[in-house]
Amino acid sequence: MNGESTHGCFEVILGEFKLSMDLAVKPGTVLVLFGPSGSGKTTVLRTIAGLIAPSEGVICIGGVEVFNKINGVNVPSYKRKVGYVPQDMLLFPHLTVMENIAYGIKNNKISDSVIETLIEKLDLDGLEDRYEWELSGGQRQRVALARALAPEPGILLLDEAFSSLDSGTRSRTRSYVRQVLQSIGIPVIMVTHDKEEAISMGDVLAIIESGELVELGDPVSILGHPSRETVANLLGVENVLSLKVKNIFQDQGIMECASESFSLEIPVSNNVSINQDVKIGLRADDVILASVEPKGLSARNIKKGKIQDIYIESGMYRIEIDCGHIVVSHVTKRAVDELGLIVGSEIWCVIKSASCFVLQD
Amino acid sequence: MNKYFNSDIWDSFKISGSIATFLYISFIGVPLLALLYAAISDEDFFVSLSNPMVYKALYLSLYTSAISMFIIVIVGTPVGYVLAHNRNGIFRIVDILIELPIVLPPVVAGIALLMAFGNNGIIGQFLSGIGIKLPFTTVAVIFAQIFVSAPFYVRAARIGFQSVPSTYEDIAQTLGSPPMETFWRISLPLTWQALLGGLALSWARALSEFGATIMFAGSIIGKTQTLPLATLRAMETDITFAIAISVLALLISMAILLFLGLIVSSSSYGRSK
Repeated sequence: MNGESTHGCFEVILGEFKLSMDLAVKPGTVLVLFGPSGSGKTTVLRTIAGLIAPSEGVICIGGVEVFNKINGVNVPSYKRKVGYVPQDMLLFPHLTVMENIAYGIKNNKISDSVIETLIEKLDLDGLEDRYEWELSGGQRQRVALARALAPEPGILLLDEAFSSLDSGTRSRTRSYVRQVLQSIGIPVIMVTHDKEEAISMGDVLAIIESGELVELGDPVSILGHPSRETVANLLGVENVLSLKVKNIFQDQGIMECASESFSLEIPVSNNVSINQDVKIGLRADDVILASVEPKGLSARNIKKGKIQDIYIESGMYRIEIDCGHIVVSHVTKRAVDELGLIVGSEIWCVIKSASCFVLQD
Repeated sequence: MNKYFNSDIWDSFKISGSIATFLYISFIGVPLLALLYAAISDEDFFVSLSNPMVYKALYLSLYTSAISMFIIVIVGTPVGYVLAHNRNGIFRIVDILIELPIVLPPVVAGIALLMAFGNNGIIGQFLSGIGIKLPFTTVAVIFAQIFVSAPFYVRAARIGFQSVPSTYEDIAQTLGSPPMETFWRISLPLTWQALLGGLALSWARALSEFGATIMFAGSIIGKTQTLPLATLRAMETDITFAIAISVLALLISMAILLFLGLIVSSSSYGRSK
């Protein structure tokens, strides 16, 4: 580990629950902690923030050791320079937006300009004198983020920070946040159980299950090739297709994305341009199979392929079809029997454009 | 159709509810109105009010209870905070013990205070050894008031501090506030309404304190005779005095009630709006 690194290797025991972690985040990158509820994601954040003391281990933030069991180091929370945005109870209800943002910094000229910059970056102009109850969910999130960033922390911890927002606000807030995080360049650890969020925000994805780190790596590749069934279930998205935007038909509301051997028509997504690489997500439940070439369907994508593999997964049959790109479909046992699906047989995959979504813009 | 939701039964229920409400309000209201009526119809009312015994009792009541409240707030606030943040083991028992004076008969509290601070009491014998005698002094009045009324404040403070989500305190700490600063900037501002409500209740209890005071402090005019004690003494000699004092007590109680109402109506940061 180099001097500037932010890493933690620690063990926490809370009653019956035991958590052991070994994580590292580089400045300017986002580590996403992903896992079912009760797996210990929030405990990881609280431990790093100094709100829970580990029973063993070392925690380092920006090269500074804040906890070391052996040397007896345990820097209190208020000296750790940690930005923490919890899931709920976001803003101090007795303070205005301005007072909330300024909470963690001493009043001086420099602080004024820091606050001004944050207000501008997070689009909070005109809300300075409002209280929590006068703000929308998305505004609260952004104020909470501004407050966490104002003291210029060495690390930012986001605990399901976007989960309470409706999906439209969520994606907008997310893109704001991502821009701001990129410009600040501090390590970020983010807890989520939203797969889209994990993919769109995360540089590294850590899967946590009952207090253990079970998988660590590139979010998209973890999605594409989940090495564990539980992980796949958690992530929910069985198909992640790496394609390039070939054509955009704005008037028809569709765009054509393709690789060398595979193409898909999907709904037009904002913020993409021709020749851009995109990741397309597709649920296995949304892939319909046909044993003869279907005709007269509204579905835009009908792909001929060969069944590569069939196995039972969470009560359904998981069919992997090679159509120039592996496409995963979930069908019932009856469908497998009636269509006579066996490995090696030819099959048509029917994919509605609307069931495809762009994961990374 | 369920017979319990029969609209006839519901109507009669509403009517009987209205009658019960009327009866209840009358039960409370008639004696109070009777007291006011007696005061107004008495020609000597203002003469009675100007009796030294009355204003001495009023002055004593106000100033002893003010000192009691000052001490209760200074000591009771941290106690409430500690109890709110420690909800297990010994603190649960402490919690119950602290609230005991609420249900204890005040006369018993007075005897208990005598056993502790009386001239032959556990602590009192040492105090009298160095020349400090507490029973039948103004200090004894304050002791009695604190003993019986502090639990109302401590209880309100404990509930108030408990209602502040710990997440706020956690965030404040990550923003660089040490625990003491967090208390001043977060916990206290979010709890002041509960604290004021508790203070009003506690003050009302201190002003009406009788049993413990008469046992431990006696009823000495200008020294230990507070308004309730003066009312009883007046009753023994001249009922017009008693009425005058009672009306004063009623006015003070109404002022406290008004104060409480104002606190409650200035709702908690409008979050429920």
